Amino acid sequence: MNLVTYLALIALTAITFPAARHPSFLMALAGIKCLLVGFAFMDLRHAHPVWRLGFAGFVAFFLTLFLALS
Amino acid sequence: MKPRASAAPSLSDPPGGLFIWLLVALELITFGVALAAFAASAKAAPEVFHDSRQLLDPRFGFANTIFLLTSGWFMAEAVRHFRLSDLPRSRRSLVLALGGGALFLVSKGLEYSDKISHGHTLGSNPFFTWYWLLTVFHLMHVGVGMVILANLLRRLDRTRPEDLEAGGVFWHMCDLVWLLLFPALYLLS
Repeated sequence: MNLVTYLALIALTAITFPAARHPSFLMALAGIKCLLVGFAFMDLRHAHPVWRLGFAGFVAFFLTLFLALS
Repeated sequence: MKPRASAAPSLSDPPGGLFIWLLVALELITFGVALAAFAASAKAAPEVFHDSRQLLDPRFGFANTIFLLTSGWFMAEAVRHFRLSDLPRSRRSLVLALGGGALFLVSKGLEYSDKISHGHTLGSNPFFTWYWLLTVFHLMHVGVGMVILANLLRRLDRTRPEDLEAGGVFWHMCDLVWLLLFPALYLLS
């Protein structure tokens, strides 16, 4: 599980450079990577739904705010 | 020791404990506010930010991302092996996680040295002010994380699983913040 997550993170990082021309896509990639780290590495997938929703909500809210301000 | 999945999730007991998650929440909010202010500054002076961003080498940012993600993977493996009571593998993974952190520090040192030698310091312009504030603040967290990991490694045979999980959560928080800093500072056009 950890290895699959790691490889997915590396793959997503590799496509970060071509995505640089599209801010929304770029930050969406960052958001997906944050969710992977949170749910797999930080073990949030085994946490109470409030923590899972809170974390996903924070990432989504922050990225939306960042793009709105950019 | 059973894997955590076997226990029913509790609101007051997230992986690593409540305290570390409150700390992570505060840290993420702090970095989030700082990045939002960075975005607002960039909107006020788009040319300065665009031109200054060209002076950063994204290869450093890419390498740093790889170092931190690899280190994070080893940290997650250290926790997994610890839960399976495999202390030698947990110890080895923890050493490798620390190695990833050390590579990050070295890479950041090289990048900072390059920036200073070219005169891109804290007061050069608004972009570099934010660049230094955000990356040094993040670097301090990586440094603190390495001290925590080294301490856990030193007394791994006496460590409680929750302590290792909490150390891991803090370490992964450094990953999270960097995953947001990297595109915002180096890549956004």
